[in-house]
Amino acid sequence: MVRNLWKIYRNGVIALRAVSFELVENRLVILAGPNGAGKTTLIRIMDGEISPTRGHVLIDELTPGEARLKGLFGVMPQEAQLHEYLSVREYLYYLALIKGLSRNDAKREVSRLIEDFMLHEYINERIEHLSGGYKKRVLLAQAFIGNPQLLFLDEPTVGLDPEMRIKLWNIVMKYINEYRATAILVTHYLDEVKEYADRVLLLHRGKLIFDGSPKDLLKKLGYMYRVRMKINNDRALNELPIHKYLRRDSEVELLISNDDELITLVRFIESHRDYVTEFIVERPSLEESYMEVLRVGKPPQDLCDRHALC
Amino acid sequence: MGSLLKIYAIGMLYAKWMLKNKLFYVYLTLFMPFSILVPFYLITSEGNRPYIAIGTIVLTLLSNSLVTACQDLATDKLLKRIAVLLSKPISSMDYFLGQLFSNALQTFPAVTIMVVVLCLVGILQIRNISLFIVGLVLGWYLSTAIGYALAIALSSRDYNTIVIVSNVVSFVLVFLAPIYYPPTYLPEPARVITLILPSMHVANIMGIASNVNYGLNLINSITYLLILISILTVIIIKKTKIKDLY
Repeated sequence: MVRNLWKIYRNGVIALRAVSFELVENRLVILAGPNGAGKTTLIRIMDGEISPTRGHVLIDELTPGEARLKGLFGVMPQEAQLHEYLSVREYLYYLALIKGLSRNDAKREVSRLIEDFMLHEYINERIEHLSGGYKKRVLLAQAFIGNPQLLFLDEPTVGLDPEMRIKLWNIVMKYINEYRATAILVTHYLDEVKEYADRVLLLHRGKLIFDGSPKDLLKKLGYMYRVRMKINNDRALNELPIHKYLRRDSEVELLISNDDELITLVRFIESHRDYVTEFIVERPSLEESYMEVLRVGKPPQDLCDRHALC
Repeated sequence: MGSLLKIYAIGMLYAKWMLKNKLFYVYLTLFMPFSILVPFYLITSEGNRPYIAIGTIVLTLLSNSLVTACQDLATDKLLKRIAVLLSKPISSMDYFLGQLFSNALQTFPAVTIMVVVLCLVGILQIRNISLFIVGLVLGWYLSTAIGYALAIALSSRDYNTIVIVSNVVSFVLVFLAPIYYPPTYLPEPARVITLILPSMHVANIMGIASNVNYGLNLINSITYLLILISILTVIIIKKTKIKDLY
């Protein structure tokens, strides 16, 4: 539970302004926002790395510091470097011991992580000799040591190839389901994770401006589908069942707000085949919704009411 | 057991760098101490040569432990490696003890080699090995604790400042205290001031164990060092968190 969290740095920069939300287990939560929105600060407060100026965080009734000492966290920091002179095996092994595992368990854990993160080839290689993507995998793998209940992953897919990105989401989801864990994921690639995410938290200039499901975020655009069609006769426009549209030469763009409207439109196209030469139905991306929410830029009223923020 | 494994693992995270860079390890454990010892030995009169031996041992302790502890923390801050460790269930004391273990792997081989060589060539004559080890261990613990405390005190400063200050402090502790020469060479007021320097008392304990006279009472030196160690340890356990560094 995050309650009325403020963070004001020594140089006067206000990184977080009255941020409040609650999390439940077994969820993948996306934390998004433009650069400098306060995402990393929020993660660092939640994992006990830095203290808030005001407000508090409770994890299973424990402060972040207490939760950390109980080994509840797994953290993948955004920019952290590794102990590069160690081999991959040594690094993961020592961190597993630090996490509190016995020697044998630590060895087993390292084997599991090597398997999950496809690091076989480089297991005895010094980390400094690895490519950026492989270093990222190692950094990511260490977050999963000891089956933490709460994962903080700060931009984990930056620098990873598409195969590894897909693999990563599968690992995270498998992990969440198996261990009933919760993962808070900072990412700019919203559409990549929209299928997996249960919830999106959107920060802007230190304020929580959106808290809801990916579907709710999509609704913020005000339409569910975007239809582009090409017409060869203006008569089609006069008879269109949807009156809001944008026309560019022979192309018409329509924003459809629900399934019924879409069905109506498809029936119209069906009955006006002679006029409509081509049509494409698109679902708007989560990133478009994100941009829309950012454009509006202030917390929705229901969020203000729920947390008494505004 | 679990806690010991954590301390071992933290220590190895740091010590491995040195152990894998064998040339640097040889430089730290052999070349550096002897490159200081030999010229000082050559320019010193025979009667004062045991002071050179004790002085170089104290210098090795301080430069290896104080500076390394301080700079390891500064490097962790610079490279943000600390963020990974912070996410693991370790206390500030675990982290400190890990540093202590890492420093031991670096310091004790160097000191042992030096002591053996110095004894073989007859510059140093240890009469009470247990007391000598007490001095060594107190010096090792204290210099690591000072380095750690220094890094915490300088946490808002940049890496270069921390490195420079740690070197200056170790220089002050070794060369402003009358360790490389008899304290009687210093005028009385200056001699009193140097009594606050812990390096003076570490040298005194090792000096008493090997018949080198620094003119201080053994019990007073041990008590003073234990008080300093207690204060620094309480600060490390209670008053600081690793996260305060960042």
